[in-house]
Amino acid sequence: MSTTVDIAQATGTWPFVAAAWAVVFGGMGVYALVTVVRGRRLSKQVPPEKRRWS
Amino acid sequence: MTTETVGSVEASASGPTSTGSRTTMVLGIVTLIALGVLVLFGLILSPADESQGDSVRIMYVHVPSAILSYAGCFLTAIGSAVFLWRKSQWWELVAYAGAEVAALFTAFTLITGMLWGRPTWGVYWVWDARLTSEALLMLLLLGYLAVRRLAADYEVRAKRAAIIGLLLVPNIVIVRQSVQWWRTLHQTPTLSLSGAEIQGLMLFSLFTGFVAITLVFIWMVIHRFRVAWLEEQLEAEGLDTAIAERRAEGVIS
Repeated sequence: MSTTVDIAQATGTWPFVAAAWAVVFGGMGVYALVTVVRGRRLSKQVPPEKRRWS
Repeated sequence: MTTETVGSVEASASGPTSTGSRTTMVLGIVTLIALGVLVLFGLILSPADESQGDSVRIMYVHVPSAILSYAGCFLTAIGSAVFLWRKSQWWELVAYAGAEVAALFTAFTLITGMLWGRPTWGVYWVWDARLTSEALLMLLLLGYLAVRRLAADYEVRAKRAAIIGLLLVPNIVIVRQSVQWWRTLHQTPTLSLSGAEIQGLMLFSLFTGFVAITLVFIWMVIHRFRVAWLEEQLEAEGLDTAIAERRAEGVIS
């Protein structure tokens, strides 16, 4: 009986765990991608001598 | 060397054409490895909690996100203070980059907290001191970013944003101490100077989360700083060109 309850609890919490991890990993991935793409677009417009990290 | 004209700026295609460098590339690879280790320990190897079950795994991304959001706020406050003191554009851009990344991590903290709250407390949200002060922190960061992006002179918007940036520090103190000062549904800190409430693989997984998400934070701040730097260079270039054109037309002397 208690095993049945435990399984029910386990399947009940995993969607929340998956959603939380997806938000963090997905959010970081999207932000990183957007930042890199913006950087590439802007870098093409700025002379190399003004890109100090070059 | 190939060149192309973009707007009024003569751009060069030679040299690196991104915000990346050798350092950030190495950092990025190390970060991806650390994130892989975090997934391994956080979702597979660490055990479920006796009372919370598997929902405790949310802690491995929630707590580091919260701490890194504070770090971003401190970075913004320090950058803002130095800008107001020394008028340093470099530090102003550090503050700006820190604020945007801090806003991202604060959003993660709020969302993952809600997703942790539902199976643990039975509700996504309650207006207790910790959650409310964290939501206010998010609003303050959004306010900073909104003011920083106002269509105004650089000095004006940077100065106004810097003043908001300084207000982040007292807000963080309130967020951090809220669970001590008021009775809240939110638990007291899992980690403190006096020790940790968790042990073994759970503690190690949380530590892995701190390392991995700190690396992500550093990588993001560096790239966001460089993007902000490029934006300011373009804006200054555009302004110089506009002034030169007006002078040529004889509108200004």
